[in-house]
Amino acid sequence: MKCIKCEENAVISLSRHNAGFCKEHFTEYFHRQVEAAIKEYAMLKTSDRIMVCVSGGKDSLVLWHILNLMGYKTAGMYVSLGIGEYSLKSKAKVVAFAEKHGLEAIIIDLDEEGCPIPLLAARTRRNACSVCGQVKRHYFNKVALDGGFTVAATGHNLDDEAARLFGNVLRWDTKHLAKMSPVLPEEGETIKRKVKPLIRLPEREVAAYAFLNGIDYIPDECPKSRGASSLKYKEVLNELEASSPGTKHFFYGEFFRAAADKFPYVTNEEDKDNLKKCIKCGAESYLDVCSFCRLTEKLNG
Amino acid sequence: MVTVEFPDGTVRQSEKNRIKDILRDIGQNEHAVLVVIDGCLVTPDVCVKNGTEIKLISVVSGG
Ligand code: SF4
Ligand SMILES: [Zn+2]
Ligand SMILES: [Zn+2]
Repeated sequence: MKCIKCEENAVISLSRHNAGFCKEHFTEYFHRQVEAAIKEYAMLKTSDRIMVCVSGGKDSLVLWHILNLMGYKTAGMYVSLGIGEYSLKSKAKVVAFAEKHGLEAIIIDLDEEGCPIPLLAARTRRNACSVCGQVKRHYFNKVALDGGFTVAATGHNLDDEAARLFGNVLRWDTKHLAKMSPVLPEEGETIKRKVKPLIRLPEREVAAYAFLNGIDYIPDECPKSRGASSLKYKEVLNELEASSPGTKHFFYGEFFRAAADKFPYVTNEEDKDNLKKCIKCGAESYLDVCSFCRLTEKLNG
Repeated sequence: MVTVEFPDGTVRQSEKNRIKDILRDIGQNEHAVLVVIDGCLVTPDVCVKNGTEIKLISVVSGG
C-alpha cells in the first residue's frame, strides 16, 4: 500500500478512509485531527495553562507531546498509585519524557503520602478502581488549583470514549450519558475545565504515532484493569469495526448530533452557596470534611 | 512459515503470507494491534517471505 499523498510505502492504513499514509503524512494527519477536535469543541485557548494528566501510557504522553509541539503552556501531572512494579515503571517513563523535552512534571507519590491504592482499598473493603478514581480526582483538583492551571487535559482516545458510551447505553446510565462531552465546564474554584483532545483518534493510531515518533511509554496495563468491562466493549467495537469500517467514529460522533441533548449536563452551580472548605485539607466540599479526607481517615482508624 | 511474537513475548507460527491473513490465522483483530517487521510498521496488505519474523504491539489500553 502506498501513501495517498506522496506514493511512499505506507506505514499505516486507515480502513475507514480506505487510505494509507507514510510516516510524515500520517504525523501531519494526526496533528490535524487533534487541531480539529480542539477547534470543534473550543477546548483550549492559547492563554491557557494546561495540566496534562499523564499515566506513563501512550495516550497521555502522546497528548502531552502534541500540545507542547503546538506551543501550548503545559505541565504533566502524574499520580504514582503505589501499585508495585507497574507504578515504578510508569513513573520512570513520565520522568524520562519530561526530562527529554525539558517539561515540568508534577509528581504525587501515594506511597510517600501514606495512602497507596492497595492499602486504601483493603482498609475500606472497596474496589481498587473506585478508590483510585476518587483519590486521583482529589489530587487533580488540588494540583490544578495550587498550580494555577486553567484547564485539565486527558488522553482519552476514540476507543476509550466509544467503549464508555457503549457501556453507558447498555446500562441506560443517564447520569453518565450526560457527561460524555469531550469538554466539561469548570465548577466552583476547584474543578477546572476538562478536555479530551484525542477523541477523534482510534487507539491504534495513537499507538502508531507513539511508535513512529519515538515516544517511550509503558505498554503494560495497570494490573487492576484485568477483566474490566471496558476491555470487553472495546473488543466488541473492534469486531464491528473490522466488518464495517467507520463504526466507532459514527457511533461516538452521532451521539452528539442525534442524542446528547436528551441527557443535559447538570452542574452543581446552583448549590454553590452551600460549598465550604474542608477543615482538614481546604478542598471545596459540601461537608465539613471532604470525601477524600474521610477516606484517608480510615487508614488511621 | 512466519514467526509471530506477541506483546507478552509468546511466539506462534503461521503458514500464511499476507499480514491480514496471518492476523486472522492467529485470531488477532487488525484494529487491536500494530505489526512491526525489522523495526518498521507495516500495513495489513503486505506479503512476507517464508522465515520472516513479525512482532505485534498491543494498542488496547484498559481501565
Ligand atoms: S485500572 Fe488501575 S489506574 Fe485504572 S482506575 Fe483501576 S486501579 Fe486506577
Ligand atoms: Zn506520504
Ligand atoms: Zn479534605
